[in-house]
Amino acid sequence: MKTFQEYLDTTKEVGFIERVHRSMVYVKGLPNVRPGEIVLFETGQSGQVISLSAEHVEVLLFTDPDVSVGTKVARTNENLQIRVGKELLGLTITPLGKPITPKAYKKPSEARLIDITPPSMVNRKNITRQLETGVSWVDLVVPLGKGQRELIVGDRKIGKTEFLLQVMQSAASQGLICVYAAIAKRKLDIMRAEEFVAEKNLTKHTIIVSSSASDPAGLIFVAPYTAMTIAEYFRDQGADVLLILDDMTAHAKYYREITLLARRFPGRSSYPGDIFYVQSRLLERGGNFIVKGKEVSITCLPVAELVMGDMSGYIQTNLMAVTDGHILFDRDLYNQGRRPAINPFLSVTRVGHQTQSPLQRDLSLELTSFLVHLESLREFMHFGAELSEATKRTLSLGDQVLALLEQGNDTIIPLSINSALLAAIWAGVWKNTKLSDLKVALKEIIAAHSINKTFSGQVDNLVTSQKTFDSLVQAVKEDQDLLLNIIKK
Amino acid sequence: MSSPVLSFIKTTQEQRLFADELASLKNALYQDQAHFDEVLYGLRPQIAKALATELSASSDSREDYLNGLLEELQRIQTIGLTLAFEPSNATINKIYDWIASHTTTPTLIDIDVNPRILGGVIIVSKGTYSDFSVKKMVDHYLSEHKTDIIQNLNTNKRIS
Repeated sequence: MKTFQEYLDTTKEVGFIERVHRSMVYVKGLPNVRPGEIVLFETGQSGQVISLSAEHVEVLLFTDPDVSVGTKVARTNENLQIRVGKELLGLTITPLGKPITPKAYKKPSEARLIDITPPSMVNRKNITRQLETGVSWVDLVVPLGKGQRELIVGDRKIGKTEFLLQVMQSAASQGLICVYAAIAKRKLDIMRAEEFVAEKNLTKHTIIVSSSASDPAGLIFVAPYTAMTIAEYFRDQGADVLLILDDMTAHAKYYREITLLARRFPGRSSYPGDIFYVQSRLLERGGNFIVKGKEVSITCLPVAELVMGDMSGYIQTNLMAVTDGHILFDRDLYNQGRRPAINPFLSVTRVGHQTQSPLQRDLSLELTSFLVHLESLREFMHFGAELSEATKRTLSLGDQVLALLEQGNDTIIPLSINSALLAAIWAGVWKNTKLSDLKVALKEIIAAHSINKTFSGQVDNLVTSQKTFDSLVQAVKEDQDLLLNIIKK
Repeated sequence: MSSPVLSFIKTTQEQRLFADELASLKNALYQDQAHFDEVLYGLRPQIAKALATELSASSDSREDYLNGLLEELQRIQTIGLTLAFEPSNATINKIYDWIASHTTTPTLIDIDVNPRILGGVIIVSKGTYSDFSVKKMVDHYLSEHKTDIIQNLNTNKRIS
């Protein structure tokens, strides 16, 4: 970036601050400035022009509002862009692309505009590849495809971020580039995400775009755009990308703050009229694309926070309308002790099932209908009705299935072993085993799958060779020693 | 300028002073005539004389006239000039006359002194920035002839 004087000499235009209103600054002068252009203050701060009026240029500050009236302002003749490149991998950066992580850092050479028009239909392709998240509930019941935009929705502090980090770990292990945008998060949460990335050795695949709640509103507002721009860079390099926007309700709140300061007419819940446009335009940049003849994707997981489980909020419903489904984290289930607290009945995946193999689709259908049946049986139990043997069997099977789907946030479970274990439970391999013993056995088998290459190869072969869930159940029943022997070993 | 009294105002410094004078006149409106006259004739003599003439000729009430004058005063455009020296009144008058002869609308000059520009002037008008300072010319010359200057300096060093 040039100096203030250089910009002044180049553009030959100057303005003066007339009014400062928190992060909004009103400037007089700059006759040819454009909306979206970056302006520089003589004190070194920068800002973005958000609108023009006959008297003033409205500038959104990217720094703390410690500028004073009368300060000179220069045009840069540039819209907001950031430097992108492989050099960013492993770094935590600000929304303006500057690294926060104290590491030796080479500045990337390529600069990209952060606000662009989403790609047209011509460059897009149907979503056909499944994204293994390593989370059983998602992979088996609410599957995701590469290039899907899936909203993660739920109350605060019920495991959304942990789930996202788990997905990030799984995606990075499959070679995806992961971009995590922390939008108005607590610094402690950002630090935890950094620690998670370092601890799980994901630095070669991960970039964190960090904006904390104490940052200026302008900086928080551009954070998801920066993350998307980085994702697009890696997509254009031929990599599949996982983009996490945590969270978009905070983004909307900060945009509301900015627009109210700018005296825009408030709409529903005081949000500006263009909030849907602003967020949908951003999320439309995700998807499955053809780049240089290769299929590449930006899988986008925006997060929306609920208040007391209310899914009818303005921003939440907006985001649901933009995305290809949502995964609901349920407060009641969380309080009941289910981890992850995903509600399978209120979660939706619009394109996930089309990415599944015939076996997985069959398994998913079977499991979903079983879970519905199980839920209705449990409801029925509340009446204290006497249970038949068949019902007891179903409930016992249900407990075992839920034990399989129970998962801590420090493990990722590959799809193949998940399918094999579900088939084994279905086949009655652990029919008379106590639930606590079953949980131990499942843990051991999953651990063995990640360590023992021969075993994991055998399991993968067993699963991939079957076309339907029934045949998989039959195959596991016949070859149950494969699973049982590994525990003995 | 529509009001002849405004022709006495040439710089933003004078603009601020005149605004203060008008404010004190407005305050005196609500007291008796003698007090108003006292405040009016306490102003700078030429301003006081011009104001007294205009007030007696105006068909508006005193309050409306003063409010209108204040509004008109605030509306006048300014041209910012950065000079390397503190200009004398004669220089200010000269600059003002030159600007007035080259512009169609009433204009005030806002003078800023910055010795670092060495000489010349930096003009800021309606958001455009024009740097005609000696500093810029020297900087430009030095950057254009950097290698020649270094070469010459080295040659001189060797001779001495």
